[in-house]
This record gives sequence, C-alpha cells and structure tokens, in this order.
Amino acid sequence: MNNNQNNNNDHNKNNNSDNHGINILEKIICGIKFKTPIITASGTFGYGLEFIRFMDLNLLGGISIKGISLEPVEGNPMPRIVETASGLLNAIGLQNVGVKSFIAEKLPILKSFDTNIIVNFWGKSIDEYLKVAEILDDTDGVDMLEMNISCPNIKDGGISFSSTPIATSEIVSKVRKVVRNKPLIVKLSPNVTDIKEYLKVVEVEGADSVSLINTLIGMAIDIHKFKPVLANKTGGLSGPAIKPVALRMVYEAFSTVKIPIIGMGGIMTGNDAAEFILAGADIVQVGTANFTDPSAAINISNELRDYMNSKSFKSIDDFRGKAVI
Amino acid sequence: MKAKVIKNIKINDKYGYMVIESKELSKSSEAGNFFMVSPRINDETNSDPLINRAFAIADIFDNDTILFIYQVVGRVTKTLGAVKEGDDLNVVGALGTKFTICENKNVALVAGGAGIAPMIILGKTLRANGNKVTLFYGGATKNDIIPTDLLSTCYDNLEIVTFDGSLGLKGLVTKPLLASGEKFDNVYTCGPTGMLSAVVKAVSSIDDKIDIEISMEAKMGCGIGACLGCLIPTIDNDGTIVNRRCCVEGPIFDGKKIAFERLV
Repeated sequence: MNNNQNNNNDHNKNNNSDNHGINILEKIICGIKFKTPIITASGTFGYGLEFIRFMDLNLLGGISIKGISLEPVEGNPMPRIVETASGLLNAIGLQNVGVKSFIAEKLPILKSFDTNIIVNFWGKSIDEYLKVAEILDDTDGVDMLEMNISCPNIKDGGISFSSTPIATSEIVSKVRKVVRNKPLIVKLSPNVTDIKEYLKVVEVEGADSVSLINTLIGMAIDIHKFKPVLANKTGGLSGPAIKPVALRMVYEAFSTVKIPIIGMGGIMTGNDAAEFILAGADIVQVGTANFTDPSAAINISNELRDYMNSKSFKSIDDFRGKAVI
Repeated sequence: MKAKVIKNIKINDKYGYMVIESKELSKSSEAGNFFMVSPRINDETNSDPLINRAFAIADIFDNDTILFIYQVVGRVTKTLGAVKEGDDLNVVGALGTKFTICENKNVALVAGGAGIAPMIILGKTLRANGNKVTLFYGGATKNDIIPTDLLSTCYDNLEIVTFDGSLGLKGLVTKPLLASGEKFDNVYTCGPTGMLSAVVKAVSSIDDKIDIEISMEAKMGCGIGACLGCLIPTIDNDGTIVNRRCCVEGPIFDGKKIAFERLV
C-alpha cells in the first residue's frame, strides 16, 4: 500500500507506454478513450476530490462519481458500515449533495483533471431519473452517465427498477430518450435470478454499455444486542468476498451482449483486474480497494500492465474474453 | 506508505503500544490527528481482515517516529499484537482535524481508557505553549491505565481514577474533575462516548463558558472522507442537527456541539 505521496516520482511507471511509446492499457469504449481500463467505482471514491491528496487523478482511466440525485440526500442512520469476512457491508443510503451542488461545486475542480468523469445517477421515481439525466446530459465536463438502478440500500433507491426485466426495460427506455449527447451506462444488480435477462433488456433498450455488479444484499447480526448491526438492517456487500459472483456474471454478460462491459466486484490487484478482462470486461472499476489504500486504483493499473507484459499482450483486446469458452 | 516498526510492547492483556518510523507521517502529524493502519503487514496480500483501522497519534519523537496505543479488541488489533520489530506497517495519514492549542492557560485533560492516546501529545504541546496541564485519567480497572512513564511529559498534575478503585481514586473520572474546585480555562477530552457526554455536562455545570474540545471515535471505512460511514451528529448554530464525517470534519469537535443523544 503505497499511498500517494510519491506517485509522481517514477514517470516511466506512470505513463502507461512501453518502449515504443504505445500505451498497451489504452481502451476505447463508446467512443471515449480510457488511458487505462481502471476506473474508480461509484460510492467508493466520493467526488474524487477527497483523493487528490493521495494520488494523481490524471493517472486514472476515469472516475465514477458517487450516485447523484435531483435533490440532496441525507442517507441512512448510523451504523452504516460493518466489516465481514473479506468484505464490507454498507448501507449509506445514497447520501449525496444533489445534482446542482455537484455541478456548481465539485465538477469545476474535477474538470481540471485529464480523466473521464462518469456520473452515476439515480432517482426515487422515473420522473426524477429523467430530470437528473437530462441535466447531466447537458453538462460540460461529464463524459458518460452511469444509471444506477440497483442500489439495495434505500427504499425506492432504484432497486425496484431492477427487480423485474419489465421494470428495467421501462426505465432504461425512458432515460435513453432523454440522454442524447453522452454514452449511457446501466449499472445492474446482482440480486436477481438470471442476470442474462436484464443484460438483454438493457441492450435492446439502447444502453451504450453495461456495468456490473452492484453490491450483493447481505446482513450482519450483533449477537450481544440481538439485532442487525446496520441501522438499515441489510446492506450491500462489496470487496473480495463478492469477486467470484461478479466474475461469473461478467462471464455471462460476455456471451449475452455486444455492448461494452464494465466489470467490477472485489478487485484488489492487477491480477484481479486481469481476471475480469479475461471473463469479458472491456474496462473495470475498483471499489472497496480505494478504502484500504487511497492509491489502489493506480497500483492496480500498474500491476495490470505488468501482467500484460508478462503475457506479451499488446492491448486489452488481446485477452478480453479469452477465458470464455 | 510504509512505516517501520521500531518497538511493539505489550502492556497487558488489553493494551499494547507501538513506535513506528515514518518521516512523512511524523512531519504531517499534529496533536489530534489520526492515521489508518492496514491489517496487511509487510507485503501480505490477505483480504481478511480487510478494512484499515484508525489510531490516534499519541506522540511524535525527533520528527521521524510516532507512538500509538492499541487496545486488543478485534482481529486487526490482535494482528498488531503479533507484529515484530523491523516489520513494515502500511499506513495512511496524517488524517483529520487537530486540537486548538491555547497559550498560558490552566487546562484540564480528561481521558478514559484508550482515550489517553491523543492526550499524550496534546499535553506535551500544551505545556510547550505555557499552559498548566492537569490530566484526569480514568479506567474501569488498573489494567486500563497505561504505564505512567509514557505520560510523563504531558502533565503538571496527574489524577488517576478507576471505577473499581484498583488504582488511584475510586469512581468515575468526572468525580475529581468536579471536586478539584479548580477553575480551568479549557478542557480537552477523549474516551468512551458515555464518559465524553458526562465530561461535557460536568464542565458546563462548573461554567458553561469553558471551551471543551473532544476527540471523537467512530468506526471508519476509509478514514479519508469517501465512505460516509463515520458520521457524528453535531448541532449547528441554529440548532439543527448536521452529520459530519468523523474522519475529515473531525475527529476533534467542539464538545458542546455534539448531539450525544443521537449517537448510537
């Protein structure tokens, strides 16, 4: 865990180019160029600004901003987090500053960095989804939109829209119509019986990309107080504990849709990222690892490049989906 | 960043302390700050336990070494108990807000249990700024009181209190604070939530103009303001309750602005 402070010292390591000046990590999806396929995941990287002290944001492929809603949201009561075996259960409840404050206060600073800004957004109703999507679609400095229909932690926090393929179809089709300028990613819930049905629906309704997986619904119980640890009772499980589930779903996605796949779930190392790409991910997001090491995403990017060099892969596409048989 | 373990001393079954070497951490640390320690020692990559733990900066020596105190309560602190001299800890810091350092005042520090940690460097700094420092240090039993040689630089007067009377006065730490009759200009405190609330009440009952600064504790997911898991309910000037992140807007708060009744 080398946080921050000397990330800029080793330029050879940090510009992702090989001896011939070719950046083997570069990947283009939806017409957007990512200098590395490593993005920080929504909800684990704040508004990005919290990490400036610890890393050079310019070295990231992109930042997926914490889920933004039309109005500010206070979130759930405490306790909101509890550690479980190789994982973290959270029930933050999509606390955020609201789209207006985000655009006025956070985005101007974020825009000064050379990295892709992906804004994760959600609503309590279809109407709210449409309003916030329209605003973000017209906002300079936002490179992509990531529609969250899968937060498990608040009532009407989007998960109802991923509880049936019909509900998913309805919301994606409506949001698609108002997002005219920017690529639209739909982030899927793993808390379903057959992820393939949802993947197909999202592609049919015109999403440009799909990201998976959001957290798995879980619980921890306090055996002395005889009640769930989290005030919200249930929370979303993230971290290495969910990686096998996430990999399986990305693997299924590769054979199900043609649109680019953004994979995530428990990535802690470059080898973890490689597993997701071998399973079919175009790019990946790093989540809980940002908590255990603020510069994790950059380390993972460097490790992924080392892995690629060790296998003589010249591009992400050289090994993307290679494990899918 | 890495910090080399210089010393790891078991105090008793409940507490240990460590001295670690890191110029970067030492230089950026002041009284009140904390840092995060990864459960992955040296270059281990194990993911269980996963989440870093927060520790108060207890003292800084020679601008390059840090003292911190840990209570052996969970899996991570058990791991820390087994760490050896020469091992590398992975740390993030310094983090959080710092205490306000007053000058030439009569000051009380009130510590409970592991809450002694930030009081050591605070007392040392306050004394260097011309303050007279009285340390009220309480614990459930004598095992909750760390050896006083670690504390020697941080007070002018020391009052030890244990609930069972096994060391020092018997009772709660607020007892001698109230009984001292001394007029303190500023009070600083750190310890269990119940104690903090009692200290604020006790000090306010003496004189509600006395400033009280508290070092709060909360379970933290990241320590850097990203996870929003460590909120502390605070009272704004207009009386509204506003949740603030213990790791960024804290851990040092105005004691009179904590909504204790809202704390879990």
